[in-house]
Amino acid sequence: MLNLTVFLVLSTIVIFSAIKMLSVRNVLHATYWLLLTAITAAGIIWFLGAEFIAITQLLIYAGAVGILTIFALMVTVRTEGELIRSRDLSLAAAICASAFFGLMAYAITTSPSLMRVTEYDPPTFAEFGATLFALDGWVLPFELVALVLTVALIAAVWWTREVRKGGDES
Amino acid sequence: MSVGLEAFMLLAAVLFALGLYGAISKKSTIQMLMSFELMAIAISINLIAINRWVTPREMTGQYFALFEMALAAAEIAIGLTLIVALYRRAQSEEVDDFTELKG
Amino acid sequence: MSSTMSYYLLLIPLIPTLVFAALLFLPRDLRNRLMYVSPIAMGTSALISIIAGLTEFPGGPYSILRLDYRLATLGEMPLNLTIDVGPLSLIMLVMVTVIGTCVQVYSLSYMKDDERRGWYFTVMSLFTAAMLLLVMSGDLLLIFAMWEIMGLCSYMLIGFWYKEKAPRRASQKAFLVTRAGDGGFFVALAAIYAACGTFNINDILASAPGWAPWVAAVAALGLLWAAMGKSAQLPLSVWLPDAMAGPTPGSALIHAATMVAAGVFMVARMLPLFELTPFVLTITLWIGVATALFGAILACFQNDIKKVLAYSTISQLGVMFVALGVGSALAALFHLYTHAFFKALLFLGAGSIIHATHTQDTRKMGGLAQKMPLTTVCFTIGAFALAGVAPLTGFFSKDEVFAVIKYASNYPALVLACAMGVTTSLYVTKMWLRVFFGKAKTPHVHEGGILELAPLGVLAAATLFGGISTRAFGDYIGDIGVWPSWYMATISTCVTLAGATLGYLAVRGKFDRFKEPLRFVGAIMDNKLYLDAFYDNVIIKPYFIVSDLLWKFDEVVVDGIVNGVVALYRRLTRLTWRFDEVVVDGAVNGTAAAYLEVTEASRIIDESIIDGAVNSSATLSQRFGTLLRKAQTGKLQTYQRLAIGGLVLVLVLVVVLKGM
Repeated sequence: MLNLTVFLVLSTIVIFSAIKMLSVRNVLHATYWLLLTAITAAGIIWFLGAEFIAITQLLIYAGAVGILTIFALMVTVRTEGELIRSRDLSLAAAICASAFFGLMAYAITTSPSLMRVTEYDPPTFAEFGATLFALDGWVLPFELVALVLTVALIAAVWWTREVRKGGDES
Repeated sequence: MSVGLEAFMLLAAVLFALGLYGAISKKSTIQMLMSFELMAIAISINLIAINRWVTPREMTGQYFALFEMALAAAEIAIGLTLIVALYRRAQSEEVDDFTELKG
Repeated sequence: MSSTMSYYLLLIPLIPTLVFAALLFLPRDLRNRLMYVSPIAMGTSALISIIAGLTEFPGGPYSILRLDYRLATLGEMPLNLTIDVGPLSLIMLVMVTVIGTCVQVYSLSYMKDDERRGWYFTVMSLFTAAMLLLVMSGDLLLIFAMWEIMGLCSYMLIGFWYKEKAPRRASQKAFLVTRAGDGGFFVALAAIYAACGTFNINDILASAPGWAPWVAAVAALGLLWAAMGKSAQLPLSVWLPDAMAGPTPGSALIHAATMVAAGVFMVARMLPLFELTPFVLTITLWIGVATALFGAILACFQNDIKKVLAYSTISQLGVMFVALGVGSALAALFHLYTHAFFKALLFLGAGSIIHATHTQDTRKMGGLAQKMPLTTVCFTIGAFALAGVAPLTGFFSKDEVFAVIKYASNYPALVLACAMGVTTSLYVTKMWLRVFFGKAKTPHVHEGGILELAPLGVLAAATLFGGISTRAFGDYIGDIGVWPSWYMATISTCVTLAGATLGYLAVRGKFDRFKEPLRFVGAIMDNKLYLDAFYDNVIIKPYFIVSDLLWKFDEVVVDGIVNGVVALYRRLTRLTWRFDEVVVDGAVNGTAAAYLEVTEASRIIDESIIDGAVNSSATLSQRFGTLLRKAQTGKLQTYQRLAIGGLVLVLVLVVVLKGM
């Protein structure tokens, strides 16, 4: 199901576009690269058999997050020139990040393997939904997350409100 | 030839490290947030990969990935709102222009 | 007929897709330099299509290539992407690739000085790939996806010169109006999936007779509405004339030859579904008649050469809808096919003329026949085909449409179609005479280069000799094509001649004396039948009023509630503060006083002994603090780096210590 070629192609695209996202100077183009990263990551998730999550990933990252980011750019960027930023190269950050990656890689490669199954029979959408909304399943965390998201969105709307003269801030 | 869990975890680690680099090096707040998203993507790949090989029937990883995505969405909404609000105050969205924590 | 699957056909859409993917990620300079790749790739696709088309001769109703790719299983439902190529698809493939190649080669010359020419070719490649996949598609979902990609490309090409205001507005208008149409597609998809649980066109058409009548009607109406948006039928026609703000060759491919015809193609594919609900067919017929007639009339009142062609496209698409409305997919598709060639030819010719004269206003042109003889010949062939002059392709296809209307015994529609024919011939003659004859009004006019003339020549040849294929076309797609009967041919030639005479008289100014009394007609035409005004007043203004109301509601009610909560909270706070001040403070003060007494006693000991020690340590910590303060830069990134660096350090320590 998931052979080496597919994995190599997809992961190359993901890493390449992530690097491009960090290295292009135009912020708008960086957004596009982020979108490509997200879409390819959705492809990886799809090939891992989590189709519902892949679709969610597409909707949330490629849809909502991409649009939101572009909107934020539209609000905060006044001229085309302001889209072009410096590359912000930083040695300290590079050392931190690569040290972090080194640790991770060390941990991943030296720890005993977690792999428990070899045969994989992906659950269907129906099973996914049934367990998600079962009372002894994940319905409570799901509702909680929904609440958190609602609160966050209300807060976001509240914050971006135009502050009227004479009134209190927020 | 099939690919094992470690390969996916390494891929996620690479993505996470790239996101980390962006988060601590970018001067533009929007790009910082985008780097956070990169890290979130790495996390979901990791969760799904682990789910695939450790809890395929229970789907625990899938549910966690779902929740993680919802939280990431909340994070980006709040984050971008903050950026817009900060922009209103300082007419800028560069981190270096916010130095009120200077001792 | 071939028995094996012809997988090589997949190359046809794959090549432009690859070109698109390759060009997309290149930096602008390199992309500009590599623009030649796109027409070469298109030419390769065209070659493959032509070879495939010839090997399948003489065609028939069968599939050459059928592929089912299971995308996912949603619950119990399989979600498939189907490719189903039959001879009809092959003809469309040949048409799209040949016109696409001509347009792209032409664009090499036309766009050579534009700083974003590489991007132009990128979008064109994406567009052609989408159109090719659309005609190869065997299921509605794939058609819908490609439909949307084409909409995106159309948007990007209309707004290509986004720094000017008119293209920006036109692209938004086109996007919104076609999106309004796509809503219908979505409804139809939902209805179809609910009715038979598949998007495969063959399966849909097979199961459709068993559906509830209203479901079939909803599906057919939704598809019709979508096609009306894409093919610019009344009342969704407003976007197409404005779409001419984009580059002319782009308009030739997208807004004249291929994309706008996708609506007709889709309805033709789904025609058996429409035939189940006769009233939808009747609606199709009359929308087609109205659009054909009004488009032609509006074209008479335009002076901008591209606008004339745009309205004539609307009108000709209306003709195709008429053919669909009387239930003849063949006539519609044949007209689509011939129209694509001669309209692309007209647009490319118009592009050369605009380049040479630097104006789009036909009143400012004139006498181009001597200065640009080759372009004139090609343009004339296209114009005569549009007017329906025998033996050009337009004559045969229009005749076939007239014949099927007559066969359906729908005489009112036939009369109106003839009126459309007269009007078409009128505006064509008027434009043709104005542009090519009379006094030359623009200096320094000369022919375009070989890159502009060669595509014109190819398209002109296709228009000139395509009429021979009338019968073969019908056989090829598994229907019966007919030669025009003498009876119909006479009628249509008379119609054309009548229109041409009127057009000649109009150019000679014979109708000028009617201008004054009929000024109100001119006013209506200048305002494009008030369609834009209609949308402004019926949709846009009420929208603003409603959003204004909602905003007021927000301000008064929602803010009121929020402010109330805040005020309540303040009251509560003040109350607790009072309580705090009186009761809690009293207790605290008492304790403090007692404490002070004790302190006073110990102070004496403190001052003498401990202070000495403390003072020296204070100086020390102050020094240390000054040192640390420098780390407090207030810069967020520094803090982040320190935090992450600390974390990494701790982790390293953990690993090292564990390893020991």
